Amino acid sequence: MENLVNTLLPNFERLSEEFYSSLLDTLIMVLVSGTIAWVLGVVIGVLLVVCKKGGILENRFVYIFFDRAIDVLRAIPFIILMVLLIPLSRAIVGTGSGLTGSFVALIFGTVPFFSRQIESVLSHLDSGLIEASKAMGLRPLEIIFGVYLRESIPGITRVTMITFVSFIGITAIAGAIGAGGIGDFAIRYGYQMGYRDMIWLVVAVVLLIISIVQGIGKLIIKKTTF
Amino acid sequence: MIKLEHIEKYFDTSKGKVHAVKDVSLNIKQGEIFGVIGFSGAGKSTIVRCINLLEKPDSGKVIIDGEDITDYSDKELSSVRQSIGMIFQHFNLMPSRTVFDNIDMPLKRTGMKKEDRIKKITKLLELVELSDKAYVHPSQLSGGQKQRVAIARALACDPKILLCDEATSALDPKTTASILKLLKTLNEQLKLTIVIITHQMSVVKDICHRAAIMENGEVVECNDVYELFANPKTELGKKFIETSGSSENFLKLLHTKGKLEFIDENLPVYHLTYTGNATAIPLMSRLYANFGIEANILYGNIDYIEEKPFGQLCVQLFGKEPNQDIEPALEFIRKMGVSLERIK
Ligand SMILES: Nc1ncnc2c1ncn2[C@@H]1O[C@H](COP(=O)(O)OP(=O)(O)O)[C@@H](O)[C@H]1O
Ligand SMILES: [Mg+2]
Repeated sequence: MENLVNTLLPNFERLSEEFYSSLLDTLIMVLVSGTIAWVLGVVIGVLLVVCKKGGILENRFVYIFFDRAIDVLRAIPFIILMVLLIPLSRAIVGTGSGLTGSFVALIFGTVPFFSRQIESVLSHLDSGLIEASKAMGLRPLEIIFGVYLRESIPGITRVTMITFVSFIGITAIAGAIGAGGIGDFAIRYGYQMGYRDMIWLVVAVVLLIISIVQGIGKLIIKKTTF
Repeated sequence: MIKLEHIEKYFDTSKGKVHAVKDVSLNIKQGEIFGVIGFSGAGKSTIVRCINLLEKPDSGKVIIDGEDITDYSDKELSSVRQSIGMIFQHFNLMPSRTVFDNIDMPLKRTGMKKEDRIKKITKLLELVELSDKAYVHPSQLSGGQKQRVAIARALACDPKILLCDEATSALDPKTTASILKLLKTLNEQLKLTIVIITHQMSVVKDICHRAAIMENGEVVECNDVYELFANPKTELGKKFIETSGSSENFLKLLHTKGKLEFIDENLPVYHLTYTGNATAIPLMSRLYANFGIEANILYGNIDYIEEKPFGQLCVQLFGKEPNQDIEPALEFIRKMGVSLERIK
């Protein structure tokens, strides 16, 4: 086994510690900013749907604010957005660089795309279900949690998986502002030092992470589709 | 029980303002089955949605049990809506929930204890005859079964009123009949006031006590169902009655074909509608005995609406003598309380 690793990945033994710590950084980025971005995305997606004209909490101002903000943020390429957000990041988490400094950028880079996807899923829910809920006397919060979100679990899972893939993509780019992670590792050793084996290792690990997430997603969809 | 006073409703659409409901006033009594019939787009759904204020009227009043609820806050409306059940054409059951959980939805939020809820849901399932389907998801049910679940859910909070928006329009005739029978039972056993929206006159004929006919946002006719059938006052009313029986087939044939082999072209065709005590066959024999007039029956039917007979007859009348005047006979028919109309 050790021999096999040495033959296939000649640089691994020397770099393994650094690789593991990069992987850990990536996992932290994914867990921390991913979780926050997911929650914010769902909240904003819900706000877009319920505040829309004819929605259960119709509110022109809130709708227009988020609708425009999303369009603007989505128009800015992530690498530029990152630099743009450095001052905001300093104000919020105290730093604009490093692992901690990446959180704000990652969240701003993901939430707009994800909210739109959530909005699309929720607005495709059969409007008759909302009608029936209102007729039963359900209050807006009960409709949001009990109907919009609960009845859309398969759709929400599907767009979470789609967003997760692009999210992994931008965590790699975040390496450029010193966020670390396996993207940064791949650039340093795979690109600058030219270690092909390390590129392949990173590719394999990324594919593994994405397949695990998609596997879980498919399972959830299967269990929640009736 | 339900009083709508001068309801007006407009919708803003991309094609401009739509006047969906025009000055509609209805007074629906406690314990009756009230029908609202009209073609698609007449404003039926809008008016019934005004009853539980899913649609807020632009002007007019909605009075339930003597209480004006038009300007209730959302919170107050939420509790009013618990006492008004509603079912829909496409059932609107929650696909991710079992039959049990669907019925539990309105109950859960009342704070009722779990054991009590289970008891209640079990009873409701018995009422709609679906006890064996409690833990099945809606996707595994037939249309009729789905509507039964929807009815159980609508009844969960013991409402006094049940609103049905085209509740049988997606069902086949046999299932429709069984759902209507269930509604009738609920009306009789629970003294439930039921409002039925439909575009099928047969639904009105089968179970409604009174009905309103709507066209272009207006109520053009509102009466006891029997009266509506016996003496329709509007063209639309007549049209709906034609669609409810098989005379429609004959009339279509008569109007579209123009020339029918089995009809003597030179003689007029009369449409007789008789109600209550007037019965047809003795009438025909009297015509012969008293006036020497014979009748060629082209179409005949007796229906029973609210257990009262309602007959329709299409005839050609001719005398024993050639060129005999049939006017005295027609006069006699009218005097017998049978309405008479020349249709050809
Ligand atoms: N939410 C809405 N927005 C715009 N127009 C509507 C809306 N609901 C109903 N309408 C219009 O109001 C009229 C009456 O509709 P509706 O009450 O659904 O009729 P019915 O139930 O008799 O078919 C139609 O012209 C319809 O297009
Ligand atoms: Mg309708």
